[in-house]
Amino acid sequence: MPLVKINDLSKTFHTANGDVHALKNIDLSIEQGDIFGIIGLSGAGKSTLVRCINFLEIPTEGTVYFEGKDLKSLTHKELLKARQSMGMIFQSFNLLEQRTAIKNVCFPLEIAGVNKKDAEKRARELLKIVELEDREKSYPSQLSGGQKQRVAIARALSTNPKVLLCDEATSALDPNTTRSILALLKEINETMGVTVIIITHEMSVIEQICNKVAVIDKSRIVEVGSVKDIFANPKSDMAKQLIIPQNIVHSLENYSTMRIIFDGLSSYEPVIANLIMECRVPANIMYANTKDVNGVAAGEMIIQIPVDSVDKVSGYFERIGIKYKEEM
Amino acid sequence: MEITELADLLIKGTGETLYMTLVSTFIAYVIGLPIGIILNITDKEGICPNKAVNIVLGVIVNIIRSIPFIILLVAIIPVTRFIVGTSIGSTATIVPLTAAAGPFVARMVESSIKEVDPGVIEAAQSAGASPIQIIFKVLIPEAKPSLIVGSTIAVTTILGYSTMAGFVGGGGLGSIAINYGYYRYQTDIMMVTVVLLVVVVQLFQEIGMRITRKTDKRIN
Ligand SMILES: Nc1ncnc2c1ncn2[C@@H]1O[C@H](COP(=O)(O)OP(=O)(O)OP(=O)(O)O)[C@@H](O)[C@H]1O
Ligand SMILES: [Mg+2]
Repeated sequence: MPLVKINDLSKTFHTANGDVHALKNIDLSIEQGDIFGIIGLSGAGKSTLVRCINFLEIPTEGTVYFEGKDLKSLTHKELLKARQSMGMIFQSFNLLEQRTAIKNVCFPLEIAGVNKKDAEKRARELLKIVELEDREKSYPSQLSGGQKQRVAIARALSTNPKVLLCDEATSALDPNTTRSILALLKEINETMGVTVIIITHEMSVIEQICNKVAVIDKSRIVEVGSVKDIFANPKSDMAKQLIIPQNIVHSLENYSTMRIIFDGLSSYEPVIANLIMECRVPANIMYANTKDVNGVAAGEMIIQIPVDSVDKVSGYFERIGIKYKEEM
Repeated sequence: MEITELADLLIKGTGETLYMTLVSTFIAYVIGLPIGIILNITDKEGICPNKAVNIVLGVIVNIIRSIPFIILLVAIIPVTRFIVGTSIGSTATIVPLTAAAGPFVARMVESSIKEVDPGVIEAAQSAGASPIQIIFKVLIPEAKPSLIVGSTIAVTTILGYSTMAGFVGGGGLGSIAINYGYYRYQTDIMMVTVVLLVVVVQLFQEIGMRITRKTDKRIN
């Protein structure tokens, strides 16, 4: 049974300027243990979609199942209870400004009726997990953005939720802080078994920690699958736009552009050098975004090669087991 | 008038003014705080939108607020007599003061609570907080510094009103200023009472700001 299942969900806002169809016919299944990314451009409907998952936004049509229960069928009290099993973090952290870090972490526990002593004990454990045990007495105004988000994560996890909803949780942070927050989310997923749902407009976030991804474009899900598959072979225009760098210089005449994907090949293998030597083609690297993940190359590269050597180069890639696609 | 006699008069007047002001402010908050909160949460952006309640309360508050205090003071005399038994003296003045200040306080409270970041409220909702829990654990504590600033403004405004009540026998420094300064042309006594009023206002202002600075955790 999927942890979260969304069936044919639509959401329409009635505004003074007419109806806004924020979501149309959304179907999604999120399994226990997933780190599920939802990516799309601004205004695509991402925030509305996560807010439908915990019913902060009531869908106009369709159903949301959480742990098999139809959220629509719950009483108000049951819904509040269900929300205690769903943590949420935000782009702007949304900490209570007049409470210390530890009191912020205690907040959901107070709501759940946990007594003060147990709540503080649990809060301390969580602050330790997010590496802020020495800042428990600090107020949000005394913390950096990354530290605030860590407190927010600790707060969201305090009631032992099954799922953590993250709405652009790293968009206000610098690249290094983003990386450390994402690493923390991954660690939480692995050690505590919390399912993570991540909303973002940045492919790099998806790449770094998600195992599955749904691409949302103009209120609809246009593609969904494993990050590996979609990254290697994006089918929808939106996925291509998000994955393939858009500002590549135009092809030279008589040259073709190829996108090659590194996943699983040794970092130590000089792929391009070998390609040039073996096929004797003047390959031109237009774009590269590769990194070494524990000795395995990951990422992508866009190269240009003469049109008449495409077959030769394809053959070479197939032989060494590299995924490639002819683009443009 | 002997200087000791004058001192006694002024001390008594100051005491009455403080009594009227503080008691009226307190009762105005007992009434205005819940009304302000209800106005805020029943707004269409609030946590329990309710158009009917919001409009009805809003209209009542606006009507009372738009009556000039001096008119309210006279118009409400029968009510004052009914509640206090008399319409003169400082205890009687508490009734019109509270009537005028309650709606004013309600609006101040409403606007203080409106300053609470909607994102923080959303975070509380996502943690499964009920509206009552949000009011007591989020809205009031998060708005506290702004509520204190508001109460400082309220207390000084009510003090101003209380001196106006001096015209109809309300007691306090206002009565002294009017009786001696206005009716008997003893400008020196009037000046002294005005100075005393300024000092009292200044004092309230200073205390309010200090408490705010101490409470607000966003600025230190
Ligand atoms: N409460 C609301 N009332 C009216 N329209 C809304 C409301 N909330 C969202 N919308 C509209 O729904 C659409 C989707 O908004 P949403 O916030 O879900 O987008 P998003 O993908 O999260 O964008 P961003 O990346 O900028 O946060 C937008 O057109 C937005 O204007
Ligand atoms: Mg958004």
